[in-house]
Amino acid sequence: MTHNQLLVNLMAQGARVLLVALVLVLSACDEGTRTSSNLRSGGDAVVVYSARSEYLIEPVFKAFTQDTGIEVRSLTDKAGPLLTRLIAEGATTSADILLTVDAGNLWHATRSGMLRSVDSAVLAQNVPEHLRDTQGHWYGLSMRARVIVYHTERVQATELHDYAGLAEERWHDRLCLRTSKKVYNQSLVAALIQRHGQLRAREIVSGWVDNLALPPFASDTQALEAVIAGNCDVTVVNSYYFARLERDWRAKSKVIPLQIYLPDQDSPGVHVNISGAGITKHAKHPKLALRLLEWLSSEHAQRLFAESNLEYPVNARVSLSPTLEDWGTLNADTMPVSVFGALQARSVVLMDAAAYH
Amino acid sequence: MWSTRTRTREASELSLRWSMLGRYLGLGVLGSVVLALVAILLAPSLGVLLAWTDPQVEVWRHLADTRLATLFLNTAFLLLGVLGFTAVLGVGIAWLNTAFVYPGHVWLQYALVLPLAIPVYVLAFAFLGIFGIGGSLQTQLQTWWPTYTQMDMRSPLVIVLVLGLALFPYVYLLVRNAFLSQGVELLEASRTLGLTRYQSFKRAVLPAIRPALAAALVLVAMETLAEFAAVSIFNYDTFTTAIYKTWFGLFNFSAAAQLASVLLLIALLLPASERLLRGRAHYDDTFHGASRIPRPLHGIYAVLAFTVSFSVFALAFLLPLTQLAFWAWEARAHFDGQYMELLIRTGTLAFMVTAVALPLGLIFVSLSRWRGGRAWLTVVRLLSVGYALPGVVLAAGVVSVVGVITPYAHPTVAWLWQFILPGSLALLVLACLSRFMALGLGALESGLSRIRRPLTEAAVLLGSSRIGVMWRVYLPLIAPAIATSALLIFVETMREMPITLLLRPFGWDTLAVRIFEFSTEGEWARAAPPALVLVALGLVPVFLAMRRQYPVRNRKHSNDYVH
Repeated sequence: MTHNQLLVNLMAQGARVLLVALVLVLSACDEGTRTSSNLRSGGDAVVVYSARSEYLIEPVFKAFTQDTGIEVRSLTDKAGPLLTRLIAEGATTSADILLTVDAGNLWHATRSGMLRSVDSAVLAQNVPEHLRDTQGHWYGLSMRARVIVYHTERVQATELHDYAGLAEERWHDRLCLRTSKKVYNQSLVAALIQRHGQLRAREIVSGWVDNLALPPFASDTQALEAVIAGNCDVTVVNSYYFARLERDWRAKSKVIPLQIYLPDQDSPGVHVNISGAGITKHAKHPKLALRLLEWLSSEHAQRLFAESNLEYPVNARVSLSPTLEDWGTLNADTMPVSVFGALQARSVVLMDAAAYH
Repeated sequence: MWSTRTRTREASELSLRWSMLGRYLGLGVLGSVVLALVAILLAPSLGVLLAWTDPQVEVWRHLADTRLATLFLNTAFLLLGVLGFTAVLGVGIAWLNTAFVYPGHVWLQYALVLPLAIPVYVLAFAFLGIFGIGGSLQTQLQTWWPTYTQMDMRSPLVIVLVLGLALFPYVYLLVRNAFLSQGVELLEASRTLGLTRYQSFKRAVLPAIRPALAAALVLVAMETLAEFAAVSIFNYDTFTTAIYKTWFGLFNFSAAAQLASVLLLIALLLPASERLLRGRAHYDDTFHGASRIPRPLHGIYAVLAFTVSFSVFALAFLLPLTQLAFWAWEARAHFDGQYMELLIRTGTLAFMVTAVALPLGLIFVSLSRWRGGRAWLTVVRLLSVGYALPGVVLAAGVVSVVGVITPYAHPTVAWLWQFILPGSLALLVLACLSRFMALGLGALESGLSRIRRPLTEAAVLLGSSRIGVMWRVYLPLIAPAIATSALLIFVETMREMPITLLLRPFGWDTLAVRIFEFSTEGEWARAAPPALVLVALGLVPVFLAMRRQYPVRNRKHSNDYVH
């Protein structure tokens, strides 16, 4: 057998194995295909594309199914890829609802023409105006505040007032922040641009960067750990990360040396963001999807949804969980959260220019 | 039994017929089938190139004004650092474990492949969980010495270390096989000619494993370029993080895809630059008689050898595993029955992708060797390019290409087309194929180069005219390459995350998906159980594949051979 013959022989064997493998694979693939095509042609379940992790939404959806008998199927992924898939699928999509965190993502989905406008008295009543889209494309379902957290032994609450205050000289080498790549900070800076204008916002961000004790962290939790460790004295995080860390410390019977401070309480109010949802343009079950949305804004669901991640409910009639009550009454900024999306690109550019990464 | 002369004539007639067919029909049947395959596998990567139809000049200008220089420098530093580190570590450890015998080498040489079972980003966050600020080590130090200031471990060098530890098994595996299949004549000749041990290693041994090392380093380079999750845990800005920021921050997918095409370009240039560096040198391994007998080490050297090997193993595997186990214990209340299902799904996906990628890779590599020539080599290079793309970009590319074609899909193929729509396993397998062909091709190529013409000719001369004997000669030679290739594809698919996330069928979660969902919310403790199960699953292919590697010769049998 020559060398070439051997290679041809190898190829032939390879081709044989490949054919067998393909047959096996395709028959195994039948499962997924059938489910998906069933859902696409209008099965019997509400399909949700969710950027919130499954372990957070599953208990809520189970409760919905118990209450109404309607089944919910979900696909979880990051907001960006989900939207890309939604856009690419077009009319063949099986998604009825897009559920995501941060108003910016919802604004972008609306801009991409992927959400449909919904008129619902229930939703309008349950969700405050500044936490939903003016045209009814999406509605906030839970609220999170971006708060200041400080070390109780090194900082007095009287030293703090607002986000801009952290740019002052006195906080030099004492500030820790999360990366500007995270959407929560992008929205915060977008709010600053809206409130104070581009120039002042740039000043504030530059001030923050000058005060950084360490390079920005990848997560809020890492920033909190740095404050506990003493590398810095103060940081800005989402309320639920602090709540979670506090709960973990309490579980180990320890007292966390951190305290929360609600900035801008008097005016204009603490910067808040939402997790929310909208019905997709090509939804196969728009009525069922609307029922799910309305149910999620109702009191029972709000309590579940907010408590699963220690967040604030959007429905004003729902009482807070004890942890959140302890922090004091939240006076939230009533700036429409859709602004964050509109200004997000500008805020990213601004933070790049201020060398905040 | 046919005479040798008849068989030779048959063989040459066969080759003649194939080449005539190719010449008369232009591409020919073979060519068009291959072209179709290549087009399918390249579609996602090409989907990225489509973005250039809408050049986002503003974004590029903004980047150029602010971060582009830093991005290039950071990416270059990371790339070169990781390449250098894995090359030195991989070659060094491989040599240590093939040329020498020391207490513990029997299990250590296999254990050193285990870091492959841990996803790179899990290694990264486990590392920071131990050594970072607020991590186990420094918090403990602070408890003992309250005045101790915790150090920020997120320096570029540490990132290079972490990525290097995660990726050196690629180099270790491929170079180890090269060492084991290498003849000992060159080395002995150089020693008898008066070179020292070190000199003969540098001039006789190293150059001969260069193809294997090059193949491994190309894989490491592409994986480093595409790595997002691990570098973002350190908040280190590279091209991949810029892609994410442009896509999710600036809401500009076109610009993000254009940035990704830069990575594609680098991925194409990498093997070309290796060839350039090689110049006209040709690394043909002469047919060898005896393989190397490892030298036993004693005393201080044995201890040193064990320490080095074990430290690498501990840092890259044991330590992160311990941290994961610790976290999993904290989160033990959440451990429930769904893990079995997750395990099966993960294993099934990995198995399916391997089952298709392996024969496909074998076909392509044999094809390129049989036909020879630059065109086929380019085909193989192109197929590998998907590995340098961040998984999320590839997934988005797949979805976009399918989305573009779907409206034009003819109703008669609708039944077949539904297999390709997002949410079907077939598309997921296809996307994983696109991404991981590089692994199969790289390992197979470097392994198949073991089969040399002199070997074939010698076998013919010795009267080997039956196919059965042929396979007994060749199978031991190509089995390690196939085993390595299968191992790499399996573990990579098993821990793959972005593509699985986006393209999986409803309710069809894998372990990697579960790890993502917890880690994205910062719940490292709850991400640890699925990570541990994933590592356990990874043990299976490692064990199976390592048994099929070239055997390390035992000193016991040295008397049986003359050399």
